[in-house]
Amino acid sequence: MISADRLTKRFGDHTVVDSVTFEVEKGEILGFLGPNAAGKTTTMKMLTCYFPPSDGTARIAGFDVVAESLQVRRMIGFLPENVPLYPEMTVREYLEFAAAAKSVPHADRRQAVTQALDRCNLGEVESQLIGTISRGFRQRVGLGQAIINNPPVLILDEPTVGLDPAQIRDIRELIKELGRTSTVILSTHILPEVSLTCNRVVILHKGRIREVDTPENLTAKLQTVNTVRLQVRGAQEEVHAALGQVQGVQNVTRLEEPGSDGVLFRVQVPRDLDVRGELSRLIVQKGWDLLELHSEGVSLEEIFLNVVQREVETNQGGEAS
Amino acid sequence: MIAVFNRELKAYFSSILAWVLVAVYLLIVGFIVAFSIEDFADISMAAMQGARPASAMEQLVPPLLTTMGFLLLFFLPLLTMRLFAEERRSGTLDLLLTYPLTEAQILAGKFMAALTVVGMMLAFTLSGFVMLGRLTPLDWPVLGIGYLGLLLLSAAFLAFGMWASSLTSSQLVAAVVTYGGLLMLWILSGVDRSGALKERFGDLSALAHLTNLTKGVLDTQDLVYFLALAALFLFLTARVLESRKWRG
Amino acid sequence: MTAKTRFAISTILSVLLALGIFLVVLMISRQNNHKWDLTRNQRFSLSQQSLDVVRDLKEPVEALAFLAETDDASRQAANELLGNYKLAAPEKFSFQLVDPRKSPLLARKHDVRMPGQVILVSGSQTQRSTAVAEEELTNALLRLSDQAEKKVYFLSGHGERAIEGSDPEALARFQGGLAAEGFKGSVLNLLQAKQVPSDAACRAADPEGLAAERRPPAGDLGTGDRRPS
Repeated sequence: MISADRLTKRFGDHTVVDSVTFEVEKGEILGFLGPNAAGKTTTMKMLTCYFPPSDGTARIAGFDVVAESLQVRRMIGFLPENVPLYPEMTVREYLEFAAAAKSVPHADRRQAVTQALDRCNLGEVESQLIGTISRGFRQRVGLGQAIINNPPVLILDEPTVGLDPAQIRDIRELIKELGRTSTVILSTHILPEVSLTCNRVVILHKGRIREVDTPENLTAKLQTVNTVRLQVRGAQEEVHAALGQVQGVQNVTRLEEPGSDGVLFRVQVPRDLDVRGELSRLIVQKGWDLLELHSEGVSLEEIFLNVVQREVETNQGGEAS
Repeated sequence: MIAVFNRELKAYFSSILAWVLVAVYLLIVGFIVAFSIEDFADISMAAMQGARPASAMEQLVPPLLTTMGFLLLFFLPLLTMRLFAEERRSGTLDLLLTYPLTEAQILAGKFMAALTVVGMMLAFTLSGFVMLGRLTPLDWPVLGIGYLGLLLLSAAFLAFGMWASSLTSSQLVAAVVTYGGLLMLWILSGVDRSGALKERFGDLSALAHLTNLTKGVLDTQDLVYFLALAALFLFLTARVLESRKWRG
Repeated sequence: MTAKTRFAISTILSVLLALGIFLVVLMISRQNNHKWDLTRNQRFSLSQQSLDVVRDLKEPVEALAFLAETDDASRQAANELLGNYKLAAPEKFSFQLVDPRKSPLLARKHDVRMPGQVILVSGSQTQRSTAVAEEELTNALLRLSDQAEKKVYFLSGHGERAIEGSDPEALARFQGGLAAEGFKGSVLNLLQAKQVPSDAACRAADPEGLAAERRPPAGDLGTGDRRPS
């Protein structure tokens, strides 16, 4: 459905996107993961025909983004990072405009608007001026205009940034639902997003692709440590020291969570080692209360940092030699 | 394109600026018409004693129409300054460019919206002439040509203003550039001392062509001047929009 | 050359081209313009006769309009009026506005003592128009284009009406009208002269007196018989 072949974008001497190649199948949700200035937004802008690539090609639904730009734009819905909207219009008016501008046939427009309002839960702000609604609603309006023409391809740039957890969850559910009918590319630097919604992940760093795979595979491939979380009632320093003594423990971190009973720790061990039994026995032996103990799923954060770290090391190695 | 047109028109009238501009323009024109009629009344009294009676169509109407055109020079830039500059600033232009719309459709929609606002404004000024028509017989076809001239002038000026707006993300800069450009267009003939340019291309100043039309002579030269000017700046605006994509 | 540079060059070229086309369009429209005068009394156009006269000019004519430089209204009117003549026959008619105070020699040469006159110059011949107005100008042009005075011979000897006098039957007014159009009338008695003089532009015959004239006299009658009504 979407294919990019050695997509490159240069601004003067600076190469922002460097020979990026990937494919997205129909119905997939692909995540672009990377720190700021990794080239996520720029790549998306090339896919949405905002500007042409300096090199390489991209095709959406078979249409070339440069040569057949108009056809491409009919098939996509784009949500830019800053969600630019017209503050002087009401939500409904704006969606009507978007429907008209995106060539939704006249007869279908009303229904398309109603549907978009519905799916994005915009019912209560339907008649309010966009300039007056909250950030969360703005985001949903932006999403509304992206989906209003039922595009087969959705490209969402940081769709959850700046939202509170409840709103993030709502958007996430919406994206998953949309993923059933459309092909989606979304970008984020919030890591849990990706593992929760995406089928596959592309990790971008400094304009180049570092890894492309499913979250599970990436985890399996790159996970090097396991972490266990403990909640213990006992003297802080003593517990800390004792935990550190357990064989295989690489690192003990004390977590701050106000209002919790006892002290919280995160214990880091090598990937294949399961120290839960030993930890629990230790605590009981010492006479402390063990309130909680569980293994944390590896965070993609770790994978990500891993990837970035490797890149740095490679460079350093290169420089050294 | 109609989508953009509708949106832009709504945007004009949801902002207070458009209303204020129209109201002030009508107010000023109203005053000027009233004063001109008074002046003319005096002149025509005096003329009754002389050989030739004063004719409103000859002495009152053309200068009045020309003045209305000159006033437009001050008001139109304020209408056009936001057409593209504001969308650039807020980022909505970026989104708009990812819609299945050609640059031509986008600028046509905006241009027509601005022209509609000005058209309505001019239509309201007709009331002054209707009243004048009750005092003295008016040559309506001639007046019609005069208004055609004003409309064409507006089209050319709006096109220029839109082009200026597309060059910057600051409405202020757009307005200033438009003021400068329109003033130049207005008086351009003053530059041409030797008359050589005039020979080849006809008078290059908007004032000259408008004046011709206010007299009731429909000369294709004047029509072409304004239409070609409008077309030129619409084209240039399209180029500017295109070039945005390449600058990134 | 990157795509970006290519685009920049093509943009600059297309802008220059657009400007060029703009100027060309102006030029073309200037050459091929059409004017419709919608004013009630056609104030800004020339009458058909004026148009014919200026188009039929055989030699180029230059009009010198003597107007004070400060008299803007008259100068503008003169520009328009003379401009219309020029528009009708650009190769044959040209004009200049002259301030008699600034060019006293020229004024004296053409014996212009007061502003508001137009001197038509064609080769070595000149004509004066006493006002910057269509009627006077066209008449002056007429006179100029045929400097040899056109003579109209009024036939006499058959009881025709006399061309002088205030007798209502007299053709005096007719002759006056002809004079305004540049024809100089005089009496011709064909029986005495036996033939039409060679300088006759035409001859005016009074139908009532023609009964005796059966045979047309020798000599060409030239253009346009005029009949008094």
